[in-house]
Amino acid sequence: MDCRKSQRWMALHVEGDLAARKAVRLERHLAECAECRAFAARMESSQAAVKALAAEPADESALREVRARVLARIAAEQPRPRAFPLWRWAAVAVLISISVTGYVIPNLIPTLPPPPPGPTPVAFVQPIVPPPREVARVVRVRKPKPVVKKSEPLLVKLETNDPNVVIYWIVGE
Amino acid sequence: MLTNLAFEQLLDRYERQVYATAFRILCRREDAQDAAQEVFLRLYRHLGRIDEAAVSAWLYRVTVNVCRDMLRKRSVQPAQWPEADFDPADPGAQPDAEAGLGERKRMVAAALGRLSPKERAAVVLRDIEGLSTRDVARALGSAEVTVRTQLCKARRKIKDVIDGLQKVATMDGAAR
Repeated sequence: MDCRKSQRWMALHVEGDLAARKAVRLERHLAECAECRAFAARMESSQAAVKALAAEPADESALREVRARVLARIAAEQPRPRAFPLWRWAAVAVLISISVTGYVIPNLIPTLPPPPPGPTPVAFVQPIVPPPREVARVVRVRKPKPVVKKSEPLLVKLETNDPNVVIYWIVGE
Repeated sequence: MLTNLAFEQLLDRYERQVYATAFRILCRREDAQDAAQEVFLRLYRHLGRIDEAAVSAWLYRVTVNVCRDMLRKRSVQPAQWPEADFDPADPGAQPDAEAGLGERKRMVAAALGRLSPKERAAVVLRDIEGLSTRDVARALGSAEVTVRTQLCKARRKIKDVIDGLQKVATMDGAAR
């Protein structure tokens, strides 16, 4: 093995990144070559210095700043609850008033009793007359108002087997 | 499946992973913050579709994708790592104990700043975050053999940069 290859492999071997078979060959060369051993020592020293950076204390103020910025951005990205627009309130009010008018008010008005059966309305029969020379006249036929007769209460007398017991039953309207 | 209630717990658990990965790929605090924010917003929007066991892998993959998008769309230059122009010969650039930056750390940062975005992502995920080569390949959407090639190149570049900076620093120290 020549020293150039040895030193190239050394850069991997120093951190265990060299394949085992190559590592054996390299170790054999290092046992024979003082120059490569010196190279290996300097490589190990520089690698130790690089790895020492891992023990550096963290920049706490930088970390705090990052943390604050991240949390602020996340808070800003959260979806805010939308304000209920005024027109929606107005629409809701209209709907409520419609439903109140349609359902509540009719129930407040007292229902009138159905009209008693009146006389059958008389059918008006238009007499057949020759058509006048003029244009047809519109005849307004008024529906007769039902005549409400005042009826007197009906007195019903029920006699029983017992001559002492008589039941009077007054039937009103 | 995850719910919104779990989101803040996930934020607690993974904010370091996401921010640190983004920072090491993008090399700038503000860009890393933007990337981390985007990653977590995507997580929030996909909460119901991610299996809890796969969150970490999902986050690595999305973080890498978001960083790539940022590098592409916004012309973010990852080489603008604050420490990328570290000059060990410059006294003003010497390690600042108060800032907690060691000399070697600054050298590593400079070396990482000189990697291509793909190489840097591979190194960040494999060597710093400790993912397996297979998981790195999944996160990057590449074949494992491609990842190994990127790692090989990247590690050698890092070593060369650190070697070079150490030589300059040694020469500077000897000159004083």
